[in-house]
Amino acid sequence: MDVIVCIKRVPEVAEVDLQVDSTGKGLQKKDLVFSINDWDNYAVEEAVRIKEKFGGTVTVITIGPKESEDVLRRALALGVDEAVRVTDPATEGSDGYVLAKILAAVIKDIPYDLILTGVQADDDGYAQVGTTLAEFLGIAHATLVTDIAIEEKRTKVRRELEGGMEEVLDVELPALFTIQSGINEPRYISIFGIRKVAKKEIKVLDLSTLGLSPNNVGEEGSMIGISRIFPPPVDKRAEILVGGPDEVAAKVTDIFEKAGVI
Amino acid sequence: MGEILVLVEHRKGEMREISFEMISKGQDLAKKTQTELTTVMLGKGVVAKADEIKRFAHRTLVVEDERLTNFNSEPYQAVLTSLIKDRNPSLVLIGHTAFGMDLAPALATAVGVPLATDCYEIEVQGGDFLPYRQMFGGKMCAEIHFREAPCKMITVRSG
Amino acid sequence: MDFLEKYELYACFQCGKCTGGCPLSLRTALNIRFLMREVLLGGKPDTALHREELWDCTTCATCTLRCPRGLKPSEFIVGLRAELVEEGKVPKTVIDALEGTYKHGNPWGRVRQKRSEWRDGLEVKILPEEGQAEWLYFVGCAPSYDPRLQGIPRTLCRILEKAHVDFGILGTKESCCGNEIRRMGEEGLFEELIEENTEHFRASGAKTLVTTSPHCFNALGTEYRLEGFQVFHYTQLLSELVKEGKVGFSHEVKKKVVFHDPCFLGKQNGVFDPPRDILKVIPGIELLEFERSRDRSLCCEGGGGRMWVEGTGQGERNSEIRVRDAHAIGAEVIATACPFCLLTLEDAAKTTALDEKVLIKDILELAAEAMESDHI
Repeated sequence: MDVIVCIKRVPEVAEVDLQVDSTGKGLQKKDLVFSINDWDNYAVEEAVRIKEKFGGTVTVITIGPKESEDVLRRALALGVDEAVRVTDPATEGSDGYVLAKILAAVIKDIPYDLILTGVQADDDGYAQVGTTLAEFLGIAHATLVTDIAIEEKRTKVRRELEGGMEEVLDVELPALFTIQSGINEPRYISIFGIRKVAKKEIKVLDLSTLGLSPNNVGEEGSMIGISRIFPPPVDKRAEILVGGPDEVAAKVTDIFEKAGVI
Repeated sequence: MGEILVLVEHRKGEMREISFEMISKGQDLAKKTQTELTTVMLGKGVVAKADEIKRFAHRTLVVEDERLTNFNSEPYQAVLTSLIKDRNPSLVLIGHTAFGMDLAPALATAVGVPLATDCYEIEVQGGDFLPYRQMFGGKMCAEIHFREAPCKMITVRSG
Repeated sequence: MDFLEKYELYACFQCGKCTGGCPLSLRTALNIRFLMREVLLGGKPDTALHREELWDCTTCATCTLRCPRGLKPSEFIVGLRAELVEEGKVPKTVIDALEGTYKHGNPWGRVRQKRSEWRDGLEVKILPEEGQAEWLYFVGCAPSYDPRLQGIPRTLCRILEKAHVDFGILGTKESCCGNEIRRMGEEGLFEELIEENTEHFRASGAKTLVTTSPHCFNALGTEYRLEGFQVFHYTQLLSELVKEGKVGFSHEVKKKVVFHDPCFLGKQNGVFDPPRDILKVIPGIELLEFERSRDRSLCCEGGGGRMWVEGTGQGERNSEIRVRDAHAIGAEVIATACPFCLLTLEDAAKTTALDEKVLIKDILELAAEAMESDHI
């Protein structure tokens, strides 16, 4: 069972005061800590478990600058066999459509039974690349996958729906699944483990190797783009109630009555 | 300008909340762009439900087939690709739900239209649609621009 | 070196003094004597590794201190944990603590930029950017980020300022000392923390380090192998300042206080008197002693990674026993000098519903009460 996993290096944003950068379209990167996208982490773990059960190879691919190699190395330390990084300054500003196009160009030369991606990215959260990639490759796909059971060339997957419901699908391989968090418990990767794979080769590809030109990618090749980013407007409607518990309860009841809720 | 198409989402015979939100927004956008609103419903035995909502739009399209009974991105994509290519709408609205996430990116690619996902607001500016979405765990908002195209697709965040 | 040789398991003659003194042996399935034997007979750690109780160990080191053959059972447990870390099979909460430390420099996963916010307007020199100093105050992760504890470093800074001690801090350059990190089995990360922190120590220009926590004191003092530095716990520095008359207590604190010896200060590093010397000088304090005091102090179960592992133990926790013991001898306050002891004991005071009868305070909090009113 040969598996490909597409991963992304993203900034951690919880608790950080985010600042818009000088272009107005991105974040100031100073002081941001980067790591593998949470959903992708589950995907890599799942891929390695599949390999441990069925044998085969796992390849991880990322699109990014040299710094992105730490997420690849971490995946190698987890037990992934091959790591590929696509890099080209022209890819800056690429939307999900273009990223999927680039990934498809890499994948066309790699044999696979299954492709895994995360449901979405921690930073922009479009939830687009995986499904678009499946379409480019002409294979079946399922999103929000919480369980994969493989039997020869068929799989039974569970999908997470709203309201705590689940859907069970029969999908024929080759296929692409976007992995939902919680599908497994990712193992810990130690510093020694990462050091052990420090010398392992990471294949670096550029656009020309993939048969793509700069105007196929980046802002030029994209279908959508960000015009600007801005902090959410502060809602003026928050009111802080003061007083003892009885007083506050009375005030709240008053507000509800006036609003016609009770 | 082409019509605005809203894909109605339903599950087990019930319309989902997001559908009403999209219809409401669709009405608003149709007015602003002086165009018509069309709702689309795919499934089996959904004509009755479609009847209930037909007053909300200029027209309601229903596609009935055994194979469309339950949501499945393959047949839905096939039907909608054909429908969109035929009708040339200016905007297609799909819910950003488990259903929509599975369908929209592949559908947009198949039809060849720009897609902006998980948008909480859509404005009209200079006759163009301007979607807004959140990023970085909700800590930032982003204004999105589409590439020039006669048809665009947006998945709508519920709420 | 093979596992058996590394921990000298052949030398263990199964006397049982280790398990006999283990503060977890009555509450959990952790039986260190049994584990030493199991691994010896098995020839390799494998069978011991699946035991959940491995994570109950607080690394209080009572076993190591008492072993008549000079073996180190607590290190053996750390060694087993290290095997699990390399396999990636550690509890989720431990993963979070380790990854938080790797990414943000503290096991709470809090952002580095906020590490100095405890100052809350207080002016403290950042070394070396804002100058040089003789002393480097190593604040520690918990006191830096936990609101319950942030008053403690503020108080120490005010006291040092008053006593004209030339000191500074690393600010947001400070990373976790790694004491707990090593004890959770992540030797590689510990090495990286040592490297990073040591570089900052050297660049700071200071020659003496003082810590809030006995855990940091232990790591920096005994495991970092710092050359050209002296490391002290704050109680050692403060008791000296008191003796030299540089710090005085003018307000009365009329309370019956019992001191709880933190494992990493007392039994492991022999610092028993300085905390008591400070308490004895504070007017109004009647100093009591637990029966299990000094090197017999009952481990509160906060160390060895336990701040991030609930543990398998059922029934009354050691911290709860400690609070009840304090109440039984008539103490109104348990004084301690360790942030983990403080948090664990305070939790226990709540769960035993004794939180209004037995207050838990750091020695610095009592010192602050005994000094001018505009403190904390």
